[in-house]
Parts: sequence; structure tokens; C-alpha cells
Amino acid sequence: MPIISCHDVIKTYVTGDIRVEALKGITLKIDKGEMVAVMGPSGCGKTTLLNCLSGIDDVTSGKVVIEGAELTDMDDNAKTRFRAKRMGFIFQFYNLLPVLSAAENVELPLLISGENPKVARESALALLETVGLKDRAMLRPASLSGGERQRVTIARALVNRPALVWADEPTGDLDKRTADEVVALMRRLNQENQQTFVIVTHDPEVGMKCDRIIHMRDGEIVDEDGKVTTVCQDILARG
Amino acid sequence: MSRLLGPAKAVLALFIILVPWAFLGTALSIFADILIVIVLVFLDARRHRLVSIMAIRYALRRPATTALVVGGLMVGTAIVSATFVVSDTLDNLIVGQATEGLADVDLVVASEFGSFYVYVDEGDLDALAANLTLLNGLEHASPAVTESAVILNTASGLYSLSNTALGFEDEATEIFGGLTSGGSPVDGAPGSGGIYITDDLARDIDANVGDTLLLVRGNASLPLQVERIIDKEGLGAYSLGGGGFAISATVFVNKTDLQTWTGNPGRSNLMFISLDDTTPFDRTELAAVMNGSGIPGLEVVQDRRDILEEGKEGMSAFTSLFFVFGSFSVIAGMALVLNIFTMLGEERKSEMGITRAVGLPRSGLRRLFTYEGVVYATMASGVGTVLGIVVAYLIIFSISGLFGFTDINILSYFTYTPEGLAISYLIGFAITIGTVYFATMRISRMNIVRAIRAIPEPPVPTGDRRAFLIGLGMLALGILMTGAGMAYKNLGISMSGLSLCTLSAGLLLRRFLGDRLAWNIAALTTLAIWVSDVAGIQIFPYSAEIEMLVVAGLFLLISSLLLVMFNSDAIIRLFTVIIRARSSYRAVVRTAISYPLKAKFRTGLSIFIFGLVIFTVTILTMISGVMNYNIPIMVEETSGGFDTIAFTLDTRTVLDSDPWAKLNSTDGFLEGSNVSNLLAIATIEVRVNDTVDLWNGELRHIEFSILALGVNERFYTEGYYPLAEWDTSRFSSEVDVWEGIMSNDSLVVIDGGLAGAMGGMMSFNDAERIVLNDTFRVEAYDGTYANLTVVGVMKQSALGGIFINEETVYDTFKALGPNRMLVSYADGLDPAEQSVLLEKDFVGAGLTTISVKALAEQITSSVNSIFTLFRAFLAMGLVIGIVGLGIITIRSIYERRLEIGMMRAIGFTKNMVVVNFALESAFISLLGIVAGSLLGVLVGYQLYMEALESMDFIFVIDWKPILVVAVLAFIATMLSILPAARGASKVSPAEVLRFE
Repeated sequence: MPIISCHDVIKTYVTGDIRVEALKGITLKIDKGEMVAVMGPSGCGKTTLLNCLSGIDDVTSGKVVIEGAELTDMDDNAKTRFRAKRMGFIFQFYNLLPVLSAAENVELPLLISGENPKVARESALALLETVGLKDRAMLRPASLSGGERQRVTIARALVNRPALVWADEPTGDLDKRTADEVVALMRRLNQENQQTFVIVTHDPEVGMKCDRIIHMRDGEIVDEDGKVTTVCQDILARG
Repeated sequence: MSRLLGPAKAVLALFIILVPWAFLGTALSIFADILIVIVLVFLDARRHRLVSIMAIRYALRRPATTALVVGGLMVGTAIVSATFVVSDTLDNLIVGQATEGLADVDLVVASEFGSFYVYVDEGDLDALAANLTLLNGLEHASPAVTESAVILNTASGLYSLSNTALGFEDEATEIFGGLTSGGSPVDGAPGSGGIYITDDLARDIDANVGDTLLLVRGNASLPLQVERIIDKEGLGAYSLGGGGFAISATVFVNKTDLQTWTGNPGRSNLMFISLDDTTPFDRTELAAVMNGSGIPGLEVVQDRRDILEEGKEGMSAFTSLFFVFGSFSVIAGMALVLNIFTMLGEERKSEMGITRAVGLPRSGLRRLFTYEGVVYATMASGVGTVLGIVVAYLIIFSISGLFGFTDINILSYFTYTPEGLAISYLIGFAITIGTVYFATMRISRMNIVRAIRAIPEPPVPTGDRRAFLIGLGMLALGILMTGAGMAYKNLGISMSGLSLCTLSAGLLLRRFLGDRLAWNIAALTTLAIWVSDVAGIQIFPYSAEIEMLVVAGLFLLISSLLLVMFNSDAIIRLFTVIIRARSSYRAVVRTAISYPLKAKFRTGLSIFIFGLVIFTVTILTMISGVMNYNIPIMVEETSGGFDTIAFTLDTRTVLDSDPWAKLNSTDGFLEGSNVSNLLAIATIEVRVNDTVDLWNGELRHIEFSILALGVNERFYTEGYYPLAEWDTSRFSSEVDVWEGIMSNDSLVVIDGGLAGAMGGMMSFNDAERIVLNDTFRVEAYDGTYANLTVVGVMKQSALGGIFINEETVYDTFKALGPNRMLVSYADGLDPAEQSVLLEKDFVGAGLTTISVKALAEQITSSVNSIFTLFRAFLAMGLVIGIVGLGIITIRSIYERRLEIGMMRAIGFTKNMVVVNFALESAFISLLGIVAGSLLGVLVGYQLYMEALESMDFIFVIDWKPILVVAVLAFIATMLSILPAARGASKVSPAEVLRFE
């Protein structure tokens, strides 16, 4: 049973007279507990695909189904609530709120979901301990290193126990050693909690550590040789 | 400027700036200097083309932001300009009234006794006139006769109560301004049996040429035929007394007729004098001639120079209130500019960092912002100055109602001077440039790497040497100012100095105690200094001027803000507990409160703007509330519980010995049965002439006229006139005091104004104050005297004078009969209507009535008008605050687009984003409103203690208008930020997370 399935997803950006087809009919499925990398050259549509699948951007046409719920049928508020309860996000530049401490940043999704503040704080601290930042919980992002900030972001992404986590270039702003640590952490959490990770990355080493890689070029999914496939090879492989 | 141009160029620039002052007038010099500054900046900009192009493009890049900047700057200039125009208009009114109301009469000399002038043989006055004309600068001196009288048109039955009849020599009419009728000159004074009346009076009493008018005073009347209806200009507009303002109608009567009618043939009671404008006139020489004339008590009773000076002084006290209250809005405007430029700096930080990285020096950055500032200042100051004229017109229009008791059309005096406008423009321009330069100093200190990478500036380390040195400088300045303030006994300077000392503790102690503790100590000690008065501790025993309000407001708000900003964590916790948001909105509350409190400088300035304006509005509202509550009580106390106070305009005119009996027995206008009580009082003008131990312990000779009111036991048994204080060693109660007066001729109760109560509101100055237990000599007109001892001081002062035993007034001072009445009407009757009937019944005596209720309403309405006007003036400051918050919201949204995108991605709904920004603004405006209101109440109470408690005013707080202003300000703020907040909710998370 795929946790993510999309069918013939098209995303077109229109700027004045210029139309750019960022996604040209993507169809794919990702199973629960998988850790998948989306790779491809800059501008190929990786992030657009992530945005459309996660519901933070609207598709022009096509269908996106997450955990059996059709995202493309939901209005903005429903999508937002769905994201808050079922998804976690990790960004390249961390995007932590600078005015909140690490613990406050991590507990934010729980508070949004209406969790009791005390429980939220306990969960946040527990996750910060998991990512090795228990002692740094009360510091604000400005006082943390890049790797630490990204680990806070990972903790924030996982705090509401989401079914799937979207990561957009999570190691793009980190040195190699820290990047390795962060990917190892994601892999550990993926395996321990059976959460699905979809990671957009340029880094082949990150891709190597995932269960599979989806290659993209010019808004389409291609095979490893660059051959365009309208349906992901993996789906075909599985019949 | 020196950094911009280099020291040598700065000197040259200074020289060029000073040149116009050698050749041009003030206004042109100021305009020339502003032009020179613009040209110098332009020339400098030509040498730095790239920077100047950047400055212009930055100014034009976001028209909406530019409009807001110009708007904010404009309001400050408009307030300054409006204040100058109001001041110019009121000056113009004084000069205009003096010019019109005094005609060509420069001085009037007479022997005054109370409200009347003593008649003197014309031979003596002619001799005096001859001697006076020998004085340098004195053109003409001419004796004349004046009497106050009622004028009754027998044909129409209409009458005028308050009139001044003047009897001139024929040639004098031309000398002192000339008379015209229908624009044509009128030769000389009226012939025997004739009268000239002004067109105004003719209209009022429906009189025409040939009509017979009765000149009435007491029981005497003089029939006169209207010979001419004269224009109200030249001598026709002349008014004796009233400081140039026409308080009574002037009519011209044949001099001999007037002398005969008053029983003073061959005698006059005034000397009119005109001066030569081109020759200086020495008033000490005039005094010497008067003293040598042998005419007793001769003095100058009207002096154009004094009227102009006192009038301008009085009006300048009024306009200084506009300056004081306006300065709050100007300061709020400056804070807004500072905020705007700080945000512009932050917005362009990355670009500025790159510009610095590729080689632009710090001075280049300052230059960039200064050029931009000049563009804004040139536009904003110009528009603001013109807008100020419009605002001033509205102010003058509003206060024209206050002059309703006269026939003055204050709007016709509306004027503005080039000097006033030039100074306004200069102040607006200087404030803008100064504020911009201060803001750029902060911006130009950026760290290039941090700027390029958009890394937030780290907090200033506690061990920072620069901050410590600034603290030392502040402390030194504070000590210097405190010393200077003490040396000159100036409360403002000494308190400011002390406050700088306490505030410097924040910078000095932070390296030892950390930011939070150090700034808390600084803020709390500063607050303690300013509220010490309430606890009865006076640090500096000096008197306070109204300007202190601005200084107090600034320091109180700054210290309160420091407390808020350095206890932000506690405040966040408190607010999070208070705002028990439902489930998912807890996250919104957390972020909404955290953001403002972390951006200390920006939030602090916004709260400051709001707080400052609400602070002033609260003070004004409190004071007007106290006055509104107490004025009716004061008026009620003055009336003693009666509905109407009635009096003859001329104290020598007396009523029937039993006026109530007359009302009952004759078929007049007012039914006797309509009167429920009537108390007739005999009064007489007396002269206080003695050396007394004054209130400040000084011995001084005092001599002035005062009214002696003869009271009997009905006065204090049927009326109630509370005493402010009395001789408790002799009398156990107020009634005891009055009974003491009844039984002892040498005891007296004086009114509150005479004792220097009422906060000096009455006309008696320090030298004329008499206090409890003083014994002083009182002389009647015929020389009879009595030594009186003050055993009680009344709260009221409107009845005016000294209250003694009725028998003393009749027997010792030879009063002829009652000339004052206190009247109550039957239930259900309108006192104002009945009073008019009463006036008609005693029209011959020139009876004038004051309806107590109407008077209370009139005074309260005037007080409210003035305070409403000031509040409206301050509303402009509130606009600045609201605009400021709007700008901050727009900027915050722009700066935090990425964070908004992230918040939306992790689950903030659109509505939650709107609520987030609304809450942020609500939080800032609420902090400002709460801080401003609380501090306003505190300072308002101090003001009450200083100025109103001595008048026995009861302290009340009228919360309603304070709440209305606060709620309106809050709603306006919410409405102003709503569009921006809705815009924020539409931020596409995919877009910002992808591209920013």
C-alpha cells in the first residue's frame, strides 16, 4: 500500500506571457517506511515535485493521494491541517524561527495541532535528546551551529510523529562530516519509526543511503540513463 | 556635515550659510540657508554620482514606502507650522484689537477709585495737559468725561446694559482717531442734547437717527436724540477698559451734557493722550508730571504698550500649550522616522553589505542615506508647512467659539508670517535630516559578512568598551546638567540631569550585572525619581513649568520601556497565561508575542510612539475631567445655593432698599411670586491701603481698590458659602466665624482670590495678597477708614471682595443701598429666563444677572472646547503611531516571508497567520496604550496636586474618554494592519521556500 501516490501531475508556472512546465505529468508511488531520494540537475523540478506532493503548492492538474487521502481535492485549510498532523518538513536553510528557542521551535507543530503545552514540551525535549541536542534545548537558533540547527529542524519535523517527512536539500548547507551525521540520523529515525522520508538532494552520497532514487530531468522522471519514463520504473518493476 | 564634506569644507559651508543673515531678513535668510544646504548636498552628490543615483532610486523604488516616510515626516512639520500660524494669528488678533479698540489713544490718565474715575476740576486738567504736551514724544493730551450707563430706546423698548458714554472736546475726536458715518468724516462731538451711537448698538436697540434714547444711571436719566449713527472704526471703535477688546458699547455724548447730568459741571475724569510714534516716550517723565500736578491718585489707567505686551504674553502662554502638546507629536514623528530608516537599513542590509564589500566606505553609506533623507525632507517639510496652515485654520475655527462672548470674528485675523513658515520648514527639515543621520550612524556600523549573509547582529557583549564609555559620557553629562539645574534652580534641567545619571547605570553596570539586572536598576531608579512627588518627596524644590510635562513624559516612557524590554520573557509567560488561546492558537500566541519582544529597538520605538501620545491624551483627559467635575461645584459654592447673582454695573448705582418688595408690589416683568428667595446686599468700593506682612513673610505696602460687601445673618443662614480656612483659635465652626463678623465690626472674611487661592487665577497679584489673621486698613472714598482683621477665607472668589458686617458698610463706609442681589426662583422655572425679566425690572439701575447654572455650563463647555482642541491636536500624533505600526507590520511581513512560508508549511492556516500579525500589532499597541495611560494617570495626579488641589478641587478620574481614545486607537491600529496581515496569509509557502 503506497503512502504517496500521484498520477499525471502537471505543474505549470505562468509569468506574464511565459509558461514554464515544471512538472510534465509525473506519476509515482512511494511505500510506507521507504526513504527515497529525488535527484536531478538544478531546475529539473525536484523541489516543485516535493511542494506539490506535500501540498504546500497546488498542482495544475493531476492527482496526489497521501495515506489514501486525495490532497488535490482538499481546500487550503484542510491541506494545512493535514500537513500539521501527518507531515514533517526539513529545509536546506533550517528555517527555524529565530525568536524561539530550540525546544520552542520543536514543539511548535504540536502546539499547532492543539497538543497540551506540557506534553508538547516533553515530546520536544525527548526528540531533542534523540537528535543529541538535549543540552542545547533552551538556546536560540543564532547560538547553534549549522548542523545543530538542522538537527533541530529534523526534531521539529518528527515531533508530531508524522507518517512522512519531506526534506529539501537537508545537507545543502552543511559540511561533509555534519551532512553524514544528519543523513545517518534521518536513516536511523526512518528505520526505528518506520516513517517515510522523501529527500530532495543533489548529493549522490545522500542518494546512496536511501532505499531508492527517483531521477528527474526537465520536469519528468527519467531512468538512470536519462530515458524519460511516464511512470516510475519502480512501479513497473513491481507490476 | 563635517564628515560629509571634510572639516575645511564644513567651515566654508558654515560661512556660506551665515552670509544671507547679513543681507536678508529672517524668513529669506532661513529659506536661503535651506536652499544652500540643498545646493551643497546636490554639489556633493554630483561628485558621488553612483551613490546619489542609488539614493534617488531607493527613494523611488517603493512608492508606498516613500509615501509613508513623507507622510510621517510631514506630520511633524505640520504640527510645528500649525503652532506658528496659531501664534501669529493670536498676535495679529491682539495687535488688531488694540489698533481698532484703542483708536489713536495711546494712554489714558485718571484718578481711579474702584470701578469709577474721580472727577477733577478742568482747570487742573488743562494745566496738566499743558505740562504733558511739553514732554518729548507726547503729541496731544485732552481731558474728557466718561460714565457707564444703560441706554434705553424708548420707541422700541430695547435697551443695552453695558455702555460707556464719552464726552470729548470737539477737536479731540479728530486727534484720537476721528469719527465717520457711512464712511464720511463727522466733524466734532455731538451738540447739546445729541448722541452718536455705533451702527452695532443702533442695530441692537433698533435705533435710527432722530430717535430719542434715554441714558440711565440709577434714578437719573438723560434723554438724548440720536444725531449720528457712526461707523465702528477710528474713534468709533474705541473701548475704554477691556484691554482693547470691546466689552461695552461706546457712545459719544456732548461733554457738557455729561458733566451736568452727573453733577460735575466744569469737571472731567479722564485725560486722553496720544504719542508721536517716531519719538521715544519716557513714562517716568509722565509719572513725574502727574505727581507734580497735585491731583491725588492720578495714574495711567490704560496704556497701549502694556495692553499689547500683556495681550501677547497671555496669548503666548496659550500658544505655548500648543508647542508643549505639539512637541509630543513631533517627538512621535521623529521616532517614526527613526523606525522607518532603521527598517530601511535592515531591508537593504544585504545590498549595503555587498556595496561595502566592493569598496564603498562607511561615509558613503551615510552619504547614501543622507541624500535620500534630503529628498524626503525637501518634500515632506514643504507639504507639512502648507498642511500646518490648514491645521491652524481648523484650530482657529475651533477656538472662535471661545470668543463668542465678544463680537470678534477671530477668523478674520487669521494670518501667517513668512518667518513662521520659514522656521517651521527649517525645523521640519532639520528634524528629518538629524534623525536620518542618527539612524544612518547605526546602520553604517554593519558587519559586512553578517550583512551579506543576512546573519542577525549578535547582542552587544556586556563587556563592550564602547557601551561603557557612552555610559560614562551620559553620567558626566547628567552630573553636569544636574549641577547646572541646581545652580539656576531649573527643575527641568536638574531632573533631566539626574535621570541621565540613573539611566547611565544601565550601560555602566551591564558589564558587572548583565543586561537584565543593570537595565532594570536603571529603569526603576529613573521611574522612582519621577514619581517621588506622589510619595511626597520633592527632590528639587523648584517650581515647574508646563514644559516639564514633555520631559517627564519622555523619561517616564523610556524607563517603562526599558522595564518591558528587559523583562520580555516574564511578559511572554504572563501574556501566554492571560491569553488562554484555544488549542492550535497557542502556537500563534507564542510566536506573536515573541517576535515584537525580540526586536527590542523597533518594538520599543513603536510602543514609545503610542505611549507618548496616549500619555498626553490621558493627562489632558484627567485634568479636564477634574475641572468638569469641580467647576459646577465651584460655581454652586459661589452662588451660595442661589439661582442668580445680580448686580448693578456701576457700584454707585443702588437698588430699592427692599427689591423683593418692589417686585411684589409693582406690575413689572418678573412676578414677585416667581421669586422664592431674594437677598439684597449693599456693597461699596473701598481702598486697601496699608503695609502688611505678606504671605511670604515680606513686609510690603499694598494699595488697591476692592469691593466691601455688607452681609447680615441671612447671608450665611439662607445661603451657604464654604470657607477654605478660618481662625480656628477663635471660632469653632464656619457659622461661628460669620456670627463673629455680625458682632464685631473689625472682623472680615475675604474671598479666595484675594487670599491668593484659586491657583493665582484671579487678578490679584502677589503684592495684593492678604492672608488669614492679617490686619489691614481699609479706606472709603471720603477718607473714612477701618482696620479689619481677616478671620476667614472663602472658597469662592467670584463674588469678589471683603465680607463685613452690613452695618459697617452703611455706617462707616456710607453705602447708599443694596446694589447686589442673590435670587432663587420657584421650582420649575428656568433661572435664565427669569433673570432676563429681573434685568428688565431694574434696567434703570443697569442690573446685570449671572445665571449660575448657565455660567457653570458655559465654563464647562469652554474648558471642554479647549481640551478637545488639544486632544484633536494630539490626534495627529496618534495617526503617526498607527501609521508607524502599519509600516512595521508591512516590513515584518516582508522580512519574514520565508518564516511565514515555513509556518504555513508546518501547519499554520491562513487565518492563523492573520491572527499572528494582528496579535503582534495588538500586543505592541496595547503595551503602548497601557504604559501611556498608567503614566498619564500618574503624572495627571501630580499635576492635580500641583495646580488644582490648592483650589480645593476634588480628584476624580473620568475613565470613559480615556478608554474611548484607547479603544479607538486600538481599533484603528487593527484596521490599519489588517490588509498587510491578510497579505501575509497569502504568501505562497512553495514560492518563498523555493526562491528566498
